[in-house]
Amino acid sequence: MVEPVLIVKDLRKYFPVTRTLLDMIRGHSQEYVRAVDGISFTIKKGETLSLIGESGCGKTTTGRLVLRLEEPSHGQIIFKGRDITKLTRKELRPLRRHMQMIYQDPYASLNPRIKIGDQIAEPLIIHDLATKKEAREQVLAMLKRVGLTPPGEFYERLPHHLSGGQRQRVVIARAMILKPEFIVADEAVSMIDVSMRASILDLLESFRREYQLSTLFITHDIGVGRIIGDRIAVMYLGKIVEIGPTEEVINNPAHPYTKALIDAVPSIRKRERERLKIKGDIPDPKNPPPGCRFHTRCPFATKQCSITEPEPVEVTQNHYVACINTTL
Amino acid sequence: MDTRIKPKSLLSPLAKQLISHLPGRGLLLAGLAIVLLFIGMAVFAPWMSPYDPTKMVDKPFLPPSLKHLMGTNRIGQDVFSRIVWGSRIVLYVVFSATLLSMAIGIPLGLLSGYRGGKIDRLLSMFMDSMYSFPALILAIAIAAVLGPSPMNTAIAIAFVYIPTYFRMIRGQTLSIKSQLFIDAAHALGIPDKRIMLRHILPNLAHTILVVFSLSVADAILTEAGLSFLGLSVTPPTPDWGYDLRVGQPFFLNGQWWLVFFPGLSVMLLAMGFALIGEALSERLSLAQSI
Amino acid sequence: MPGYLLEIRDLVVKYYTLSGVVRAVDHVALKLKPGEWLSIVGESGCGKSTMAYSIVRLISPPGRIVGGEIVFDGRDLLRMSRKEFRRILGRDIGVVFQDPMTSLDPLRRIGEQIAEVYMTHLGMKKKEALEKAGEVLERVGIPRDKISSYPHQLSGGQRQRVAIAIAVALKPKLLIADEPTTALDVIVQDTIMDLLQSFKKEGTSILFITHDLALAAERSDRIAVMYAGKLVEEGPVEKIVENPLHPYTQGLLKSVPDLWGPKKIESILGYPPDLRSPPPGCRFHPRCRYADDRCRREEPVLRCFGEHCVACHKAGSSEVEG
Ligand SMILES: Nc1ncnc2c1ncn2[C@@H]1O[C@H](COP(=O)(O)OP(=O)(O)OP(=O)(O)O)[C@@H](O)[C@H]1O
Ligand SMILES: Nc1ncnc2c1ncn2[C@@H]1O[C@H](COP(=O)(O)OP(=O)(O)OP(=O)(O)O)[C@@H](O)[C@H]1O
Ligand SMILES: [Mg+2]
Ligand SMILES: [Mg+2]
Repeated sequence: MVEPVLIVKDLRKYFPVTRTLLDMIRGHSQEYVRAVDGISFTIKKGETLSLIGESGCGKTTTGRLVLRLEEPSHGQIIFKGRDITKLTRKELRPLRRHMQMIYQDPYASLNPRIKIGDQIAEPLIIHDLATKKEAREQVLAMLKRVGLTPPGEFYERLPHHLSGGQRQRVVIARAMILKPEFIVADEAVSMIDVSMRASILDLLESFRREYQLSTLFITHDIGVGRIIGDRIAVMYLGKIVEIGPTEEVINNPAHPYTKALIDAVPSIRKRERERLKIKGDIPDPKNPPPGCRFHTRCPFATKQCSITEPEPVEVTQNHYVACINTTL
Repeated sequence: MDTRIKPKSLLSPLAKQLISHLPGRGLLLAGLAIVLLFIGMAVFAPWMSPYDPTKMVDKPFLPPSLKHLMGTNRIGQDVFSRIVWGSRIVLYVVFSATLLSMAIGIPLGLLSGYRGGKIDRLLSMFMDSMYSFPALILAIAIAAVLGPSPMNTAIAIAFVYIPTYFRMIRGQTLSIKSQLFIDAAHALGIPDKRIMLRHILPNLAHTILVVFSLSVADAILTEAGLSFLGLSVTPPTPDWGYDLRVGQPFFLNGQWWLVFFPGLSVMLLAMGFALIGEALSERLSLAQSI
Repeated sequence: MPGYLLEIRDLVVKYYTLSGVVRAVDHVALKLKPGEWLSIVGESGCGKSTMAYSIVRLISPPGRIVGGEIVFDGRDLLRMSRKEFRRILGRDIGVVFQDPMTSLDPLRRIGEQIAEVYMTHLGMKKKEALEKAGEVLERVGIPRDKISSYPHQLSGGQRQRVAIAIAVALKPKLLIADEPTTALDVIVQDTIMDLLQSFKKEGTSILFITHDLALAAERSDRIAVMYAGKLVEEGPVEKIVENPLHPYTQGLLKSVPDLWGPKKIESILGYPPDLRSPPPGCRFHPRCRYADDRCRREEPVLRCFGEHCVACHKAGSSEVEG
């Protein structure tokens, strides 16, 4: 049995809420936003896990924690068999070449003043993987690979001369030039025009095959999550409520939240359909509801739901759900 | 190889924005013309000035004429020659001062903004207290301690503008630091020093250029003030501020040229830089928003 | 023949920027019947918002409406006085924008902002107007006791509901919604769409702007597809999604993920053009696999097959089949 590339155990991140002077005078205690509140998952070599959920449920924080761009409040992150939870910034630096991030906003994640070729070459140079000249050759090859041709011309351009889709290709090229083993892609196609999304996803897919890449693919769009993910994890208010093989979760969602989420996605094929509707907004992550966090919006909630916090149970093979009414 | 590659320097987009047809081009050109005029004066002083500025060359108090374009002063020196040579002193003092304050203010601002924490709090406190001092008084105090010489004046003035650079750079660094591409640089494993120098500093170029022009304009006035008070150069070195003071009592007697020309020079030169600064700041923010 | 509530004829809108003239809306024509829901679909920058803003005369420099007519209820909106137009806007036409934060005043209570509509258009007294505001808040699904909240105290979805409440307060004949759900999550989006649909049932016509073809397909009666400032295809939803005639529409349909369809999606080749220098002929030709010489040279005009119109030289030929 191969060791998973990434193991995450009971990961938590509590952001302290900034207190006003008035709060302090009134003696209000420090509050925390429980952005990520005890999640566990693994990602195998070459596997893509799609992490989906509504805005503010903690997806980005999870991705940043896993890459140690954010300090975990609790839990464990094991990358390639090594516990990286406690490593310092300096100790992490050499590991960075194996784990990369792709951001949602291709406008903001590139330095506006550096030629894109040099931006892609930079990781090679700082990790001592190539001389300047070799780096240039590799970058030109990579530019071609991600479809930015003629590469010589794109090498010299500044980011603002590129369209959104082209920039996202640059961001991908920069992440891939180090041949990483693991990437976090945070809403990597959300800002890309619909007509070009497929090609970006195809590009990621081709790298995954070539490098045996493991991916945590964060998205609020189940449709996209389904296309790229081998498995899907559904997050709600800092917790994973359901995780399992993609088609299994989408065809047989076991958690009412997953079901509602799927039903809310507009479809061209099936415009008229029964939908499970839920009401209300996501509760405040500063003080999430007791018991099952979803009970305040759940149409099937019983009294028990507001008391017991559900543990994940395996409903079918590898398909886990945290809901005490899974028989529904 | 692709033949269309044209290597360009980092500043080239900036340069392009500067010469592009944006509103405010007139102001910029006017400012540049004034500044270049005085720089030309300073460079070509030996050829431009008709007389030795430190010697008595004619009768005192001669009004402007063809022989003495700006008249002569109290001790018979040629005012025009003193203006021409005086531009050297002003520019020398002001440029040294500004470069010095940049050399200290920019790295400290960068460090303070980027690192944050204790260093930041300490530096900010120190700089803020320096900043809250009236500029001229601070300069006077420093100049008085150091003694009169152009280099000492430059040092005194430099101290006045260190906090200006520090604060601007620190503020900008803070805002750039929070941008996504810096986060991306961390994720790539790029060391802090490189992030500061390669990723943040180039993004400060605009700010630095604008603050440079404006602080030079301001420093010209401060320099004039110091030498007006006799804290800059020792006579008979030609100096606008000094000449202003010496000429000032005679203004009401009708010998207006003793003050008029040095005063005008100070004003024009300061205005030239201020125009450049204003035009730049407007154009660059405009160019960025397009 | 039914009358039209809104008829846009040959609209041309340009932005005169320092780097060139952007032809954001280029000779576009559209018709909307009373009680109908028409969605304008297209990708970022194709001119959807410009089109919507033109109707409510919100194009400001460097933009300018260069030509065309916008006939609403028999009168040309572009040629009426400011005062007359003001009276129509808010009473007969309601508008909802993508980001409610930009249209709501952050410093005033939401109740007052809704009440203001009644006070200005119907001359109600404040008390009465607030009473009405409470009603309409409830109508859009916000508890009445939130009436004295400030916008920042509400969630994104609730803010959008308030914006909708303002837009529909006077039961306008036409509701224009420019990507009202783009900033929201799917579940909230679904509830907002339900809300819009309920107004349609009460007789309000809806001009809905979105980049999400699936969203448009689920809710509208008709869809208009825009590409690079041009209307490329327009027709009843069934026609557009089941028998798309324009290669761009066909490509768009294949590029939208669908949980109830196959897993595979496809991209349209290449990138959308720069509207400062759009390609000659058909604007889609650089990305079109059916393009021939004529497409590169000659701009296609809108041809109609019954209710279904398309601007493509090749549409209808056996080559271009969905
Ligand atoms: N640096 C921070 N300080 C304080 N709170 C934070 C911080 N980052 C995130 N949060 C809070 O943590 C919660 C989770 O945020 P996160 O960005 O992870 O959500 P997300 O699922 O990525 O949402 P989105 O889909 O909007 O990107 C939110 O309530 C957010 O306000
Ligand atoms: N104020 C402006 N100045 C200059 N150009 C503008 C301005 N507003 C819009 N444009 C340009 O006009 C074109 C159409 O813009 P518009 O906002 O109508 O597109 P859209 O279809 O609504 O796009 P999105 O989906 O991004 O909202 C774009 O190319 C855009 O760059
Ligand atoms: Mg996020
Ligand atoms: Mg728009």
